[in-house]
Amino acid sequence: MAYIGQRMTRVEDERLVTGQGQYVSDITPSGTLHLAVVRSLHAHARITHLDLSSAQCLDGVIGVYGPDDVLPIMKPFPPGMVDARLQARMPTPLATGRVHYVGEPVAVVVALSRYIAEDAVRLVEVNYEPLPAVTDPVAGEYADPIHDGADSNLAAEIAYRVGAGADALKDADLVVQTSLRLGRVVGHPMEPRGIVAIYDSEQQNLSVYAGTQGVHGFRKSLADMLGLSESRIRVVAPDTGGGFGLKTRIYPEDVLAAYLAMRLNRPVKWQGDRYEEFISTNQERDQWHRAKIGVKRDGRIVAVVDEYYQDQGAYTPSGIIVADTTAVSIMGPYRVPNFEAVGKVVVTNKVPVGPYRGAGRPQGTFVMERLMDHAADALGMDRVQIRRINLLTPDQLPYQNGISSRGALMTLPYGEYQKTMEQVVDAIQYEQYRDTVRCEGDWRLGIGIANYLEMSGGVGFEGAKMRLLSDGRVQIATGASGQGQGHRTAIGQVAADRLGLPFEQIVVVEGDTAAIERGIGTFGSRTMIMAGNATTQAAKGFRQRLLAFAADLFEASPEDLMWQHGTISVSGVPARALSLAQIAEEALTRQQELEYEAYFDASGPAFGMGTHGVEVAVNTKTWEVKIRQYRICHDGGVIVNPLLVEGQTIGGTVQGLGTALFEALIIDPDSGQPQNASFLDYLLPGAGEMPDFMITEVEYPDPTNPEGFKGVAEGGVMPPMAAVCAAIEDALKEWHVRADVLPITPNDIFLQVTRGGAHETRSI
Amino acid sequence: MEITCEVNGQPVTVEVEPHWLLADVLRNQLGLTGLHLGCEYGVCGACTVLMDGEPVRSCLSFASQVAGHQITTVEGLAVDGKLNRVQTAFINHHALQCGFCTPGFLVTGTYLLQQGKLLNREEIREALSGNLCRCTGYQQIVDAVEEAVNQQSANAVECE
Amino acid sequence: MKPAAFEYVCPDTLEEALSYLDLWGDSAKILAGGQSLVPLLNMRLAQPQYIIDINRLPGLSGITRHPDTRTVEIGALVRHHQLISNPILLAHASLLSEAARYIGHIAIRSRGTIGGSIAHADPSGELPLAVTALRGHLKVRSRHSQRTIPIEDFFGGYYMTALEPNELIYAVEVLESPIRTGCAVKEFQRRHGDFALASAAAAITVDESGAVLQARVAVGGVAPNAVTCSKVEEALCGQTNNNQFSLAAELVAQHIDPPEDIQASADYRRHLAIALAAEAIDSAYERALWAKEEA
Repeated sequence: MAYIGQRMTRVEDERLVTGQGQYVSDITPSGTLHLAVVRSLHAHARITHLDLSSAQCLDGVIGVYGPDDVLPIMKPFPPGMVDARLQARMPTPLATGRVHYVGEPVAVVVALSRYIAEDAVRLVEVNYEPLPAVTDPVAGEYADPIHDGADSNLAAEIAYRVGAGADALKDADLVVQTSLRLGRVVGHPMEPRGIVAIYDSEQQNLSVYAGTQGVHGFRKSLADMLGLSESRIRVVAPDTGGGFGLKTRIYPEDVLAAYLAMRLNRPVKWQGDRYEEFISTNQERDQWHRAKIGVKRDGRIVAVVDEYYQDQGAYTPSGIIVADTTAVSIMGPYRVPNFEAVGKVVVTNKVPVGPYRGAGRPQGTFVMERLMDHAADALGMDRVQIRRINLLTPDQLPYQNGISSRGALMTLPYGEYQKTMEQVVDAIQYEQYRDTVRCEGDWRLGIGIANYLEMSGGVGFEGAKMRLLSDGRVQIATGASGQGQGHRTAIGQVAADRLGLPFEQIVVVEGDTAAIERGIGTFGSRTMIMAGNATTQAAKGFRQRLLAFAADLFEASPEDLMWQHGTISVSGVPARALSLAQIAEEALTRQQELEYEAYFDASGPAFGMGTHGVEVAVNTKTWEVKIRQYRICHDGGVIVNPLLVEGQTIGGTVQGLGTALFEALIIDPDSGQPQNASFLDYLLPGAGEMPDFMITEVEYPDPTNPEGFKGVAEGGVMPPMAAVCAAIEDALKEWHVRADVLPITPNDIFLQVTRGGAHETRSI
Repeated sequence: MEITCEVNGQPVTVEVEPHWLLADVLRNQLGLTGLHLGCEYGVCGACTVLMDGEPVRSCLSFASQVAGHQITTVEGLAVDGKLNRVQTAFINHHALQCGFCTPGFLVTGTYLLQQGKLLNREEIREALSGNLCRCTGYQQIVDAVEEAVNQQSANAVECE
Repeated sequence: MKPAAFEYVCPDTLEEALSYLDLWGDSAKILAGGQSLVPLLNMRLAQPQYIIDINRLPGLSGITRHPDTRTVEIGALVRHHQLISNPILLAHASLLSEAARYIGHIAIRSRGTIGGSIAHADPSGELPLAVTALRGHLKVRSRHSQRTIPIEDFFGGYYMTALEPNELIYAVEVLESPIRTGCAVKEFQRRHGDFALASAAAAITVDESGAVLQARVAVGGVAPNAVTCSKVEEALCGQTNNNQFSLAAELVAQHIDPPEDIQASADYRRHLAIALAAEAIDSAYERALWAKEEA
């Protein structure tokens, strides 16, 4: 019986398709009070006056709180990531004195309903003395510091150098330089953030329901901020409506709701709305790059050099993870002998940047793949050919690219990168069309190819705790909570195989600090690698634990016992057999807990290489871009459930297509005000715009973990931007359109066409 | 004010404030938390319900307006505990991940099913364009609706 | 994102509704389909003291043809999805059906009303565009008076209309399209159902020889309100060939001075308006020829 590898439908789904899911917004204990937040209307200002009195007088308002009213929690959040390169800028739950972005919490209202709380928010009077807003990281580096007590707006500088770095450019026959921009993307899980906090004053215990990606880290942060022992806090992540990295850290509203629940001794709920999601949840991408590639005439890469700015927004809630991952992702699956990246993380008067699906991987991929295209064009070489020349070959793998990330040299495991790419090149008929101009009526067709190397897992540990339930089912608890990935199904498949039990006999519990003592969470495509392998480890120990217990019952030695189909028997004596349910019964009478807990530590990140190929059609009247065909080949390592992997791959790719074609929060450069903070004009990709995807999987087991798993949630989001840009340029060769600024919109294309196209700067 | 309407086949009388949104009343007063609020201005479609058989945004109606009307929410799609075709197809095609937007898609899909027309993928994508999903990338949702709607239509043709 | 409290009435007769409106004027809002109003209420961009729900008013949901005046009257409460499939409209004012297809999504079209859409006066609204192209009239009542406003006198800038605070649109009236007429609407939306960056509507009538006898052309999304393009219409008369249509469409530029915003530059909007007008004219002309064949 092998469950691993099966396209199993999910155990999660029946509840969810009948409306029985329980998301934070669906949980409202009786007596719940509702919190709403007064948010800064300015990007940068001093608060000169805060008057809560009118709001306090409104019927149904329980309390209105400014910074002076919540002093015990008015301290900076602990840094989300400690890194010697970073001077952290962490917010306090409410702004004091100065506001740093439109949306920063200034005060909170607690009322009998959200309706009343929102009425009261409008009665809070805040006077602001506006300050010049820093909205551009390049100019912002030297602008007056936006934080009191800081020397400058430069929060971190990231530097990597491999080989001779930028000095090697002099050995190149051709150097191509380009400026690249990625827009400010808002991640937008369909469920906006929210929290329900319940305090038991008798036991002095706090329970919170929060849609967090890591219940244990959330508990730790909450404990730090509230000054409460972790043992007094239980964090439960119930059904969670998407996370994508945005729900990895604690936010001001979480602490405020928990603190006020304790203080008021009533359940307090904050359910953010979509507008709050636009102006208070971490955002991402938003980088400016000046990148160079030096190549030999035959197309071989000599050096890649990138200088970039991370427009970090006002704070560094997740440290420099995004900017750092960008640098380490640039080289991708290629052989790059000399490399240099210098990144500046500059704080600005915008919503803070924190990880959103990919967390720098998409940015790095965009840089490298655009450089490859532009280098090929400058050499007069085919864009796929230059990739063939530079992709690492099987005989070069495993390969260390010279980057040391998180204390270890990055090691790319074996794979057949060319073969992967050629599958997509063939499928999309690249060679057939590569030198032709193709028209269909008013539409021009073009193809783009982009490669990527998905780095997954590799940080921290994760655990699995197995317990025999009284009816003979086995429960597995893990700290890696899900937001729709289907962990209960996938981890269940691993457990069923490794325990040799029917899948139906497995129950997976995720997202509850009461279910397992330690955990890290779900991010960085780590859960199947970390919790999956922890499950495998736990299964081994759990079997032994059960065999030892059964050995006592049978007065036999564990070596003489057999474990088959959920029954333990004495070898050669089939009559002497006990089912797991019977063993559970025996354990109950003997007052023994049959459980086993294992924690898995990876030796480093897993890597999977893949290729996307896209065919676009561009309308030469309206300059609309349509996706006609999309092909993907990727290495998912040992695949537990192809159905789920396809879901992750397509979902990620569509998010990448959003960044490529539709999504960017536009911030007014003078005022710092967001211009399109609603779903009406911030355009998420819809069903009508997206194509059908054809996916091929290759499986190269990863050597860093016993099961050979690789993460698959971020590969999809990495190459679509570069692939689409390449395809648009290919379709519009005649006009020399250059697609280096994201999102690339019909308006941008029109402007380039009417201005006669963009021109690259180059030296040879 | 007090309103009486029919929700998932049951008569319901509920006391509401005139400015309470239908979505909030269904969720908070009637405990039907299946539908979700993803934007509260009619774009995302997560709050879609059927009103007299037509899909509507429950965030763009006031509860006070539905007196005398019939409302169907995701909780009312399964009949006698048996999932309808769209629900079943969603499970089989992995058409949901986080599940937050799913009730809106199921209601829209069920409406399409009830129209009894054969639809091609492009028509299905157009029909679903008023529902946003951030997890799935839509393909598996389109697969599910395609199977459900066209299976139904095929059966209808056979019966004729 | 919750609306502020308001007083709610749901009158059973038009007279009752009008007397509330007369009493409350500017501090009241009419609630029809709610697809434009309720988002504004939820975002608290509008905060009326009173809401007058007209959904239960009788007699406002019909589509009637008046052969004597050769007009079609559409009740203010007719929903967008009804416009799409109504046989009277399909036969005699199909531009409205064509336009309604582009509005939002299924769940928007099932509730939104023609009266609401026109009173809302969105610059890229499809029904304001179509009614403008057709030189329609709005039948308006207050408690004590009644008037008919030609659409060209109705819109007064972004989201502004000539309606007095105590007035309500109860019907929209358009002339029946003459025989041998073809209609088309073309829009450019970033995504299905989005507000158009630019749009164009054309109703072309041909004579027995196939030459353009009468043209009705309007563009939307490129000015505070939909704009009729009389120069284009004049230039089209008597023409039979597509090159001439394209040249005529260029004249759209003389009627508009498009706004610039985060989605589109003024130049791009102008370019789109011309391109879409040309497409709409081509397509309407082709349909007019079919209609000629049938006639």
